[in-house]
Amino acid sequence: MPAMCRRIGRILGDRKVLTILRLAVAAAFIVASWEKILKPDDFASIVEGYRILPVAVVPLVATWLAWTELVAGVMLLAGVWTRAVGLLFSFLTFVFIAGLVQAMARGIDIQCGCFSLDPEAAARSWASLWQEFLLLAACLWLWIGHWKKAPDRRSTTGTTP
Amino acid sequence: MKRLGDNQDHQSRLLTAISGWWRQADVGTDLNRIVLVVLLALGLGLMYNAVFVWPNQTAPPPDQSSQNFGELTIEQAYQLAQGQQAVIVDTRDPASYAREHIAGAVNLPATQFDSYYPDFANHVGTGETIILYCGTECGSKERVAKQLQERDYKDLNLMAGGPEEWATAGYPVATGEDTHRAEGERQ
Repeated sequence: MPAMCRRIGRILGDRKVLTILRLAVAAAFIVASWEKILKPDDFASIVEGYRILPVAVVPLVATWLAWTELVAGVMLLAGVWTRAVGLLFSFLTFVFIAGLVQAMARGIDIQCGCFSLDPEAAARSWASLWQEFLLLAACLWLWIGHWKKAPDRRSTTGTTP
Repeated sequence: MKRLGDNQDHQSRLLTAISGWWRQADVGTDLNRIVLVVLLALGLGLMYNAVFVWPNQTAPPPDQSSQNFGELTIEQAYQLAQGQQAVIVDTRDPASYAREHIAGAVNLPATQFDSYYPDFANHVGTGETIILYCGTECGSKERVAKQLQERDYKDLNLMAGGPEEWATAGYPVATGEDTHRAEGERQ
């Protein structure tokens, strides 16, 4: 069992795997943010559809979400503050999942608004939630993978991850 | 006493483990950086919208402003629907509509407007009186009203409240999907 844990730890912390993961997650969030930034009103409509927030704050939250995805995505692409951005994206993805789950539990026919603002896109279902969980796992992996490296990096190079 | 002491010992070890993990993972630093990223994103977003988005959102002409939409109470809407045979439009999502809607209301969801509009236009003329509702704490009726206004619908009225308030007032509600749309899809 300890050997298996060490093996999993090695895979999680492998530099090449983490780099590929970092670029993939960064690309996913940058692509996802693009349409939301260009069509803020459409994205605000989708955010309002979750029926969590007061209507008055929806445009501000929609703007913040879209730009956080872009800014943090670019930082991730450049390898700046990777660990912190991994944690931020983990939190954002968790919030998306929680929003989707509460909307579906209430029987609201909702578009995710995650990667497309197309109103004709199929409404989300319980079965399609695996995509969000996959993204959450990738973001957590990014955070934990770099967290494991943090003490070594501090002691050897003195730079921040 | 020994059990109480054991519990305190466990709690203290748990707290030590959590604080050790917090320090090792350097979560505090991550949280500080996240705050900076979030503030930077919000600032950039507001600046972008102020320069490129908001100036392009031209206000509607005075004679077509949203202030010209009629504001109706549930009682007024009911009287109007009875007297002039106005069309009642539900602007919520199809699932909410199917669960409960005002009897006779047509579904025109704000989130799927382009998809539903052609069918709506086949059934409702631009000269007809239209009453829009979505419920309390929602903005979709205003958005649909603006979209209809741009398509030459003139007599647009916003009703305060939704099916629950309508039913509470003693007026009829119904369940199931929009039959107008179902008919349109079958054709």
